[in-house]
Amino acid sequence: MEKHDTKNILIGGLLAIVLVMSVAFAAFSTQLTINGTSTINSNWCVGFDSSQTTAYTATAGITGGTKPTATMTYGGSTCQTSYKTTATLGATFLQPGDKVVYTLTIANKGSLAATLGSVKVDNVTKTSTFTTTKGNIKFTVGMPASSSLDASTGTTTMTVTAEFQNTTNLSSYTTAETESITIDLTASQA
Amino acid sequence: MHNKNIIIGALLAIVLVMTVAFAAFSTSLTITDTASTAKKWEIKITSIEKTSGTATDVPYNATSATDGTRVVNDLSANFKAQFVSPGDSATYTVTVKNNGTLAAKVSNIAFTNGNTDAITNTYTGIAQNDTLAAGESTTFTVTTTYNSNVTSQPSVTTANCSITLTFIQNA
Repeated sequence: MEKHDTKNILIGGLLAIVLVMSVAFAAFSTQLTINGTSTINSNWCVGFDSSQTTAYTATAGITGGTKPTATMTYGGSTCQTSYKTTATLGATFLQPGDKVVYTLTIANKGSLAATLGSVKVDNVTKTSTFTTTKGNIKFTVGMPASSSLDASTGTTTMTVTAEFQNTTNLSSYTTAETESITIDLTASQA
Repeated sequence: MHNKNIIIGALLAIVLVMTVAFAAFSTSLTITDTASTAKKWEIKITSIEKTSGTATDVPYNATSATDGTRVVNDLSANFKAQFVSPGDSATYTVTVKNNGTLAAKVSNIAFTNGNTDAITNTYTGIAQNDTLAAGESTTFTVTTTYNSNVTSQPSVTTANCSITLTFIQNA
């Protein structure tokens, strides 16, 4: 029994020595830590006001005639739910002289002032008023009235006109003609 | 009974090995510095500050308990930066001092960059096996950047990074 107790004491003592020496080893080591947090504090939102789906004036080509029917739809990048970077304008025309004048509203709802850049019309970059013809329909795309938009509240408009041409030779004239055009907006921080 | 003999034998072997290892440290200290008094081991962060970049540094405010850029204690420091425009950045310079009497070296660097599509974090100026003599200071930098190629509002607007330096005695 005595021998048994002695061994227990010896084991306990050796364990204690190992523990102390381990702590001594660990003391010659230090860890330094740097923690960093970076946050983007601004909000960027420039786009067409997609709530404007009936901002157009349609005129019949003949007095008392049926006016063309028009559509305004939006897509592309979206910010703050209602502001989008692409507008698609379409209409169904019934006779020569039919005309639709669209008014697109562009707004800056972000926290940074913006400068509008060129627009793309059917994926082709344009920097000034531009006309193109699709079938018998002539589109005239104007540039934004103002290129500078204040943060949060800046707005401007741009006008697009679509017209069934009054030509004398309408060999390809059909009863109704539907055409559309797509406009993409670009903007950068002012 | 037999098991206890084995345990005792193993513990004796462990103590012997550790004693030899300690002896090696003790021997080198004796040879290199016979005139010193008590040996001291102390590696600490002494400062962190924004030294360049267009981003806004957010300072620590003890009154309002707002976390920000500061040395928290000898062993840790924080920085906090805010961006407005793509291309904004902040470079923080961290100073580390060997306040002890034993030479040290960097045995390991663990860096979690926390990068997102819009924010990139990097460090420079310190590497594994860099040495720091007793009484000397060294600096390194951590840079955080709002990537300049961002053209639309990022979905993730916060990035957290962490760098841990392990210093050991330079035998």
